[in-house]
Amino acid sequence: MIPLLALIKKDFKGYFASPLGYVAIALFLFITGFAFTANLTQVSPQHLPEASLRGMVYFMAVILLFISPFLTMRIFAEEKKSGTMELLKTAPVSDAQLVLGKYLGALLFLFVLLLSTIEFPIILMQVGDPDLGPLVLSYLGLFLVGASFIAVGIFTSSLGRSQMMAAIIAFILLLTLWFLADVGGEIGEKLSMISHLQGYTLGVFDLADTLYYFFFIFIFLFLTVRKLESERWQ
Amino acid sequence: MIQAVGMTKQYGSRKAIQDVSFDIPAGSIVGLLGPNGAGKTTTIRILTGTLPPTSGTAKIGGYDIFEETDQAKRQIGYLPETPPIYPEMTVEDYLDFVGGLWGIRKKERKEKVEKALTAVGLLEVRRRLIGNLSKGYKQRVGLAQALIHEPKVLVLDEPTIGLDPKQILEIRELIRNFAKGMTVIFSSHILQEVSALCERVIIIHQGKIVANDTIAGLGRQLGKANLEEIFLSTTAGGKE
Repeated sequence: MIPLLALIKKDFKGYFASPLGYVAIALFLFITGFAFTANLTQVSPQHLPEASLRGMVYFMAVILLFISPFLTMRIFAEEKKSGTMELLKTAPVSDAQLVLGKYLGALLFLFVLLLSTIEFPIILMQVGDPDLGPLVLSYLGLFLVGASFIAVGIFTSSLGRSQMMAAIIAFILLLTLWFLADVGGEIGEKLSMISHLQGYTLGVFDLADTLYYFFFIFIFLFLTVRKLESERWQ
Repeated sequence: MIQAVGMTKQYGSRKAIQDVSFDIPAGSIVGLLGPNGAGKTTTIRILTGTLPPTSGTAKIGGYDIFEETDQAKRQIGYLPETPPIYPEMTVEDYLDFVGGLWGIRKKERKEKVEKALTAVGLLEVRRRLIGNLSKGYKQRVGLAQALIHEPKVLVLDEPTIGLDPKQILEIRELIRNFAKGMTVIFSSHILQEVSALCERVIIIHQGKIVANDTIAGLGRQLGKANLEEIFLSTTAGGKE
């Protein structure tokens, strides 16, 4: 438990030890802020503004998709490159603990990143009377999607020493998994990350969707642990 | 205290080390010598449990590093060739993190960080970022990291490489002090350093142990006057 907490703290604080964390939050707020403003102010007969985030949850998820590889690329690649991996391996910390600690550290940052958009629902409540259910579930959905992105990113970061490669492979994997719904037919839609987000945006909680994300995260974290284990025996 | 039992490491068809066995008694300080590429780092990595051997094993304080991993690891403080530091952390935060990795409770951690900082003379730079420290100080941070969990064995891989003469002397002095309460094994290819620090040497050449004795004993055996001659005569021959 103590090593786990130490890892979470170190990796979470790491985001704020460099400009990375601040830039990520600023960028996320800037882009989603535009979408939010447009959503509320563009009035036309076809589009009447409504007090909900429904129109922009997908958009926010796509922005997360583009930001998260930058948040995860260094997680293992940098430890390997700088030689600090040896420190982590000499301490009595299991690979599972290592992966989980680093994952939770990144999740904590994701939480802060999403929390930074809290003004959107607050503004909605000021100017209108939004449905709280869909709002809360939208955030839950975004968190789960973001948590899945991060799991993929942690896995690709464990593959080698290059942060650049980790980010590129993460992008390719994420885009593939995201758009599977459009090209993969019925099975593709079942597997795609995008299709499981819909329920949340509508305020419908479906256990199957939640389990999908949990399972997705578990698989990629499991692969990461296996990758680290295999390195010990090379 | 440190026991290597027939350790062999094979990379493809190339044997990095072959049937390396030795036994270092508690309380001694031993230099692991050898030309570059002889297998020093491979030996050290196996001893510290960061690299599994193809065959053989290592025992630290009687614990098998691959079977009783946790107990064995707790006996060892390890400083790899490049100190495993995070430049964006302060010295204090870094040691607190390493203490956490070792599972030391928060209350005790403070005390142990203090102790490690004092032991390596880092008290006055404790709040500085590691990235801004000189190479010699970074090496001290690496040493402090290896000491935080109060190990019985200290394993150092080329501890003075890349330092200036003054820093080298300072690090040597520290190692000499640590050796008073611990078993120390360190690798080096600087012969003066080994003669200055230890009585016993293990010389490794092309992955095999070619000498394992006190410097005086080897001198008598081989009829050589100093470590330099011993080293040259034992590592002569063979292909580069």
